[in-house]
Amino acid sequence: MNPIFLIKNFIRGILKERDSTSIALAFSFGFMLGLIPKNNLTAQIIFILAFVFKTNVPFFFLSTILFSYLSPLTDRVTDIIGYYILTSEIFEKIFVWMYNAPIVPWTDFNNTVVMGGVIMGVVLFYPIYIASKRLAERYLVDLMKKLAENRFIKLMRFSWIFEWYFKE
Amino acid sequence: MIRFGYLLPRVVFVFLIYLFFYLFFDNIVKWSIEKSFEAFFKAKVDIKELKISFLKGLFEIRNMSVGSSNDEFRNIFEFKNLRFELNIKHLFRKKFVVEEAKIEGLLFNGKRKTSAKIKKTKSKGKDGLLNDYVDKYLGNLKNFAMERYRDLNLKLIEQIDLEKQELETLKIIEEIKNKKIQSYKDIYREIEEDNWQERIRKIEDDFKKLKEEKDVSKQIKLASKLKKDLDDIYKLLKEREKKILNELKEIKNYTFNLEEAKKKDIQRISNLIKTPSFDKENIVALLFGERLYNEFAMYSYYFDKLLEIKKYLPENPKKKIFEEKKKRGRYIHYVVKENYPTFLLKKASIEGIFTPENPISYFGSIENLSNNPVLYPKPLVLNISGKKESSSIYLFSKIDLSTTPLVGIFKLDYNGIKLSQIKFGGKKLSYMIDSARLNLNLSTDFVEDLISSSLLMRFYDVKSNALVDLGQRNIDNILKNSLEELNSFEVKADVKGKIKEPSIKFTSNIGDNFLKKLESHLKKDIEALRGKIEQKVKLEVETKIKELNDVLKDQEYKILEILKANNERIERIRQDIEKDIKKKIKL
Repeated sequence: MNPIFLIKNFIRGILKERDSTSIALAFSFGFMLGLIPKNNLTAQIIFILAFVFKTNVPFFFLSTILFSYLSPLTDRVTDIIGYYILTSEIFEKIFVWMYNAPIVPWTDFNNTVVMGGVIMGVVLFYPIYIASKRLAERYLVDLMKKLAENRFIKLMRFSWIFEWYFKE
Repeated sequence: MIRFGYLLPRVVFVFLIYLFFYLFFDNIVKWSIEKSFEAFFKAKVDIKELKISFLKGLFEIRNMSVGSSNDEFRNIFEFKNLRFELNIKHLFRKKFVVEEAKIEGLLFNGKRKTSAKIKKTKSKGKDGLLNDYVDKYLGNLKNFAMERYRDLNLKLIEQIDLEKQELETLKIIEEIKNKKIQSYKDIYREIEEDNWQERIRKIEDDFKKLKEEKDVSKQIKLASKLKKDLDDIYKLLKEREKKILNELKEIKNYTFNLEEAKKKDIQRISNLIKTPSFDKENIVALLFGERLYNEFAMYSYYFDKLLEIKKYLPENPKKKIFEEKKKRGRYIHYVVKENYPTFLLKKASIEGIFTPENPISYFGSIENLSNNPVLYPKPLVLNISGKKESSSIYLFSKIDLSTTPLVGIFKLDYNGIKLSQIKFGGKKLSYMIDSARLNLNLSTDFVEDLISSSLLMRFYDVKSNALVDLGQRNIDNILKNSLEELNSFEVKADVKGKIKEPSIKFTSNIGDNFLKKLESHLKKDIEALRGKIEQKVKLEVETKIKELNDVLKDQEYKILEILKANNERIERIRQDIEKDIKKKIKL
């Protein structure tokens, strides 16, 4: 896996992608992943899930970065939600079992932001999916056209390197 | 919908990881155990085979040996098989918890075919806990002991200056002499007080008057009065003379137990004879000090490591909270049903043969070995016992690492140890035990870094040879013979104080034989000196007694002369008066 290969696929993913479903999935998963801290098993599971489904990779990364930047704002909400759930008596037994179970503690489920982020991500997964799908259908084609008309991209397209390298 | 193109490579990847664990993981763990043990024991560690099975939760090590840093062709310990089952549940919590383990064929002090030396790695600080202290102690010990040894000189029996010795007998005689002289002075005074001269002069005056008297009747009267006075004075004189003679007789007699006094004086002076003394403890320290100190330094190094385990928990538990606050969100903690340290061995049964030289079969157990005793607050217990024919071993240790201060005891009774070719001492003084038996009793109590330990070693059935080359041939030979003659002896070491700078005291009866031989060698010289003392005392006393007798005789003679003079005078006067009276009467 060389970096140029990755960059190539990244650019292709942005320019050539026409499937609004995969873009929508990318945004939904990106939103969920962006909400939570990344140094735990939960983030890895979401990451793997995103790749198991046909998610647009570049848009997934872009949306993760975007929503991560918004985390100082979203943390205030997710912390409250997570704290409420984690300290609720209804779920106490389950959480005690999970806390003492092997591997499960690696998910950091007992962190308020992680728990709140997952819940918020799950709850808002479908609405974001729908919204981003419509957004993709309406604006994506125009965006692609504009990008394609960009001078730099044009230059690149006419370059023999571009042609040779981006050949299917 | 599902990206199989994504999944398949990942599945392959997971399979490759499994393959990696199956093929290489054991070797990696084996290598890491070898390296970590080498860092701790500072000697080569070898493991022949290691097997880990995560599915079965099984951990097995075969033929492991840990070399000794003190003796490169010896192992501190080795075993044939170590087997235990891992609790997978705890493993997922990154905790290595062993419920029960079994060690088979555990052997101590076994021989190695290859050297156990490893390349010296740069250490952050000083490796040996006691290296400086041991060096300093041994340096001082050797210097001090050698100086004391050099002071020994067979001719150095302290010569007593008999001239300067004050004899009690002479003092007594002098006192007697003074008393007697005083008594004579009293007699003189008595004689003077009686005014004999005046009385005689008065009689002479009365006699003169009688001669001048013309009247016969008055003459006769005066004469009879004079005669009476004369008789009285004569009588008194005689009485006084008798009394004085009795007093003189009394003064002449003096009694005291001359022989007893002389004996005491001879004994007192003889006690001043000093044979060269040599601190027995120095012999023991010279012979056994270095070896015992090095052994102690090694065990104190392990003890120091034990103390480090205690420091494992962060000293400030609030640190973690501060760390957590930096992370996103808050952590809600729940009740942990089984909170174990990252490494815990609950119980391991041990069996093996103690050492190749002393193949005592033993059984035992180690309990509660962990790297975080505070989380599992049960004392570390080590219990081993075994017996074979006349040899036996009993080891018991209990260390509570979870309390502050750390408290522990260690007891070892190891009897009937066969020794062969064991060398003690250094280049110039060495004691090689060809064969012997040893009973070793060690008892140690410690509270944090304060230690109180007592080691008793009883050697018996000893066959040995010694090399002594300390620069004094005669004494060297005496020491060599005394050591080689020993059939049994004891060495005791008491260690007290802080473990980093303990005071170690050696006692032993190994020096008794040496001192006895030294004394018997010096016996002749001592006897000769005693003879001289006796003669000297006898001479001095006899001289003094003669002097006393002379004084008494002289004084007595003088007094007798005075008495005689007085008598003669009175007698002469009496005779003259009688003659004169008769003459007058005839007329």
